Amino acid sequence: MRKIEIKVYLICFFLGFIALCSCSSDEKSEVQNADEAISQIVLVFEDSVASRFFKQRKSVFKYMDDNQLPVEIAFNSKEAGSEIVLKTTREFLDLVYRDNSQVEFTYFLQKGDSVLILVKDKKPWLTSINKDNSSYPYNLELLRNTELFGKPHSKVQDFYFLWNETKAFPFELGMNDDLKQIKDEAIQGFERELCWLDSLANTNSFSEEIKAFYTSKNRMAQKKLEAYDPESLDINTQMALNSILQTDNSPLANSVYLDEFSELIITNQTEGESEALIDSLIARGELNSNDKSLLLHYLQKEIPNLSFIEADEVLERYEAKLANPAQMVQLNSSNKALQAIESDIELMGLQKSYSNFEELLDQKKGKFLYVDLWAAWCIPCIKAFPASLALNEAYKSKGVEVIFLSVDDNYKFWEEVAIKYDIAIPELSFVAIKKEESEYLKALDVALIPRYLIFDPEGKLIHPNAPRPDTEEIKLYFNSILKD
Amino acid sequence: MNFFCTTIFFLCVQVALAQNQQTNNISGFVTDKEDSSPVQFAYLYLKNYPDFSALADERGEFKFFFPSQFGDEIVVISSIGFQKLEVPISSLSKTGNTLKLQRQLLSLNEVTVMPEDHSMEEMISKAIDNIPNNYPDKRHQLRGFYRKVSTNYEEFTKLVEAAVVVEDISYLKEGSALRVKLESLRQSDELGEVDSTMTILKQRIREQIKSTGSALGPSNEIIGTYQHNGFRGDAYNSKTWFGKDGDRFMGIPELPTYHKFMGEEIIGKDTIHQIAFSTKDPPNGSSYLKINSRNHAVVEYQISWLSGEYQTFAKFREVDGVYYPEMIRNKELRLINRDVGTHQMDISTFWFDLPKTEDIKKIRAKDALDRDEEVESNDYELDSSFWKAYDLINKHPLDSAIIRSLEKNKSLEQQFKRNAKD
Repeated sequence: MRKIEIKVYLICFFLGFIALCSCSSDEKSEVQNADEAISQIVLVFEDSVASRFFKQRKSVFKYMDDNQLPVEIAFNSKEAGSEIVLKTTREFLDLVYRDNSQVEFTYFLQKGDSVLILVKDKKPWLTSINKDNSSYPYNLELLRNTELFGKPHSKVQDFYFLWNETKAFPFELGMNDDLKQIKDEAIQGFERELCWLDSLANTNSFSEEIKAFYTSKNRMAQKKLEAYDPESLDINTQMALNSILQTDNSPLANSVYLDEFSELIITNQTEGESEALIDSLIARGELNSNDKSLLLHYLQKEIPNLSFIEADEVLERYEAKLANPAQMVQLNSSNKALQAIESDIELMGLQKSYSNFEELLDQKKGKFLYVDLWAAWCIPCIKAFPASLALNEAYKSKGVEVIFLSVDDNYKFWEEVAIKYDIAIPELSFVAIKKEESEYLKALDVALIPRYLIFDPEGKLIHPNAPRPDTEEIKLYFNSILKD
Repeated sequence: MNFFCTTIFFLCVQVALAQNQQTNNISGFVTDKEDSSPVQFAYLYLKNYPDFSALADERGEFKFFFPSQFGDEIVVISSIGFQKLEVPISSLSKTGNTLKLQRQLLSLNEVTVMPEDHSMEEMISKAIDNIPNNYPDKRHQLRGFYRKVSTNYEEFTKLVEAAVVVEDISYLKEGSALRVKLESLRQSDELGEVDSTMTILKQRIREQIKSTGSALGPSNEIIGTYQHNGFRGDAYNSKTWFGKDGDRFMGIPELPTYHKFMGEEIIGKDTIHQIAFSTKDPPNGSSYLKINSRNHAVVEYQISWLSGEYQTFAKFREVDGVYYPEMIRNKELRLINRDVGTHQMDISTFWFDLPKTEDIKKIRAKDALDRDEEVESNDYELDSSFWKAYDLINKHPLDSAIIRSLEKNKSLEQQFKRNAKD
């Protein structure tokens, strides 16, 4: 600590020197700088050890910007600098730290704060440069975990870790009793945390705002945990939703915690449930910040599954209800990018015939194309081939053609596999080569397959994520566009 | 005021950053001394601790990570057709090194002929067909020294050493038939962060696999490491890579395996071919087989999974026309806590003495190590005088850097005592 004070002292000395030199320069810019200094939070690494730690641990900071959109700052890239500047006009901002070791700490920072990032016992440790503070305000959650639980994770994090692993495991693990027990311990942990916060507030270790934030977060986290049922291994979304809608959580407004909670609810709801929820919220009147967060996540989930026209309609319907225009831009960005970009995919057809996607679209002009993206390792893709072939048969005469486009890295064996699964049809079956050179494939993000695209008779992409070939929805969709 | 203050502060920090880089990785190129062309797939390792290794790519470029304690070590660069080069790490910079290898002189009659694709496949197939001929089918015993070091690449967190006798009946039999007798075992304190939640998860997964009746490897790591030995019945009778009915390193069209001939070594009258294989094209050489062209014996292999988080290596030696293991090494992720991204690794190595095939005193069932006995949760009697006299550990002493790291709080002797049966 002593060292830092000396550093700061030295810096201030430099500062005075610089200020002297720059006195004659434009005064206006200094005024601007002063304003900026106030409407931002600055974090800086103490030394290379700290910044190296962040890189090695693949650490991420996450916060909500002033447009209530999440921002993630990762440190694994080479470009990551030694300082982080968070611009905000809000008085307080919560910053969440996560890394490889699956620890999670929320820092509640105030506008104008300058914070030094250290590494202590292999954990991040924040300390103020410009305020005289006890260690509690900035490291509250780390200290809570070590003081109350004697380890870097809280009990509720233990619960979610086991829950997620159990859900992700391909077989049923006999984990119900463990989950039940850890859930009980986590609930006790919340109660202990509340007492702990009280006692710290009584000794003036931190401000009222800090206490209000962490107390609210604690209550909300309890409500959230209640919605997890270790018996059925299901999340009761209605229960979770009630805790967002009915509790007063104003200290948490626009926090990462609430944002992720809304996202969790929407992700776990069916499409119909989400739609009914949004409609009921709008019918109730003016949307508050929590409602708006639910709406944003609903749209984020919904938009990628719609055709461009449908997406525009939905966005138009909800535009006025969103928190700000920036969210609209964000929701629209992926579709906009896809429509603007050239479809620069190099193709190889049967018997090593080369072409590219533009040529193919040109050649097929006048027909709707249903492009089935697949790879040899993707079992669901291969299982859906008969449905795609049937779709091709049923709609051939109506002006729809199905194209099988493999996005496999192993394209050398593509033809063999295509023959094996009866899709080696001339002019309909292709493999993308030189994948990494295609901006279009990057924009489409074909990591997740099966995936289906639809192009109109002009060769323009109209649906970036069409329904699967074996569904009623795809037939309904084709019937509707073919009628026009 | 603050704005300026922090800006200048950043400048200072950035300067400090540039000067204060702690090296635990080096990078650069390996080239041919004669014509400066790149040397492909050169193998780099630490001289006294070859478990830490790296492989240059097809352009000769390498990036070598090692624990920071090894800053004083010597790095060895080896590539077929070139003389081995030894360079102290301290003489290298962090990036942009050029390591020049001297060509090895071949006599005129040793002309290297690159085998064709199908002949590589044939070579591998013959090697698998010949497994029953090349590996032991009679009862034999091997004295073996087992050592496991655990590291999180910042420091070393655990050491287990065991002196054992392995009794194997035949490579055609399943691994459950082999017996391992413990002569002595000692282990250090646990310096890693053990997460009880992870322990619960691992236990439930094991129970689940057991309940489905699937074959589960032994929980005992010592037996597990030996049994991993690629040609034992377990592997030969399965449909895995070394299996007689497996894909023979060929893959299937949906998931093909690619091959690349990496070179050959001439040892006495034998020619050893090295073939790299991978599901990625072209193979980078981290998985390979070395096959003797005389008898199609696999004399060495290394198989890497993921990006090297799991790796198994074995080297064999010929005794009376049969190959016995000389060394087996397994690297795997150490799953003791949720921090699975920082490469916490367990590196288990087995060194073996020459086999004993005659006048064997059989290991009795009651003297054999239990297959499910977990070493780290058990205490064993400590016999310090045994370890002082043990010849195999003298041949493979523990590296001083590892000792320093493990002894940061307490001497290893004290730790061994504390973790032993009273």
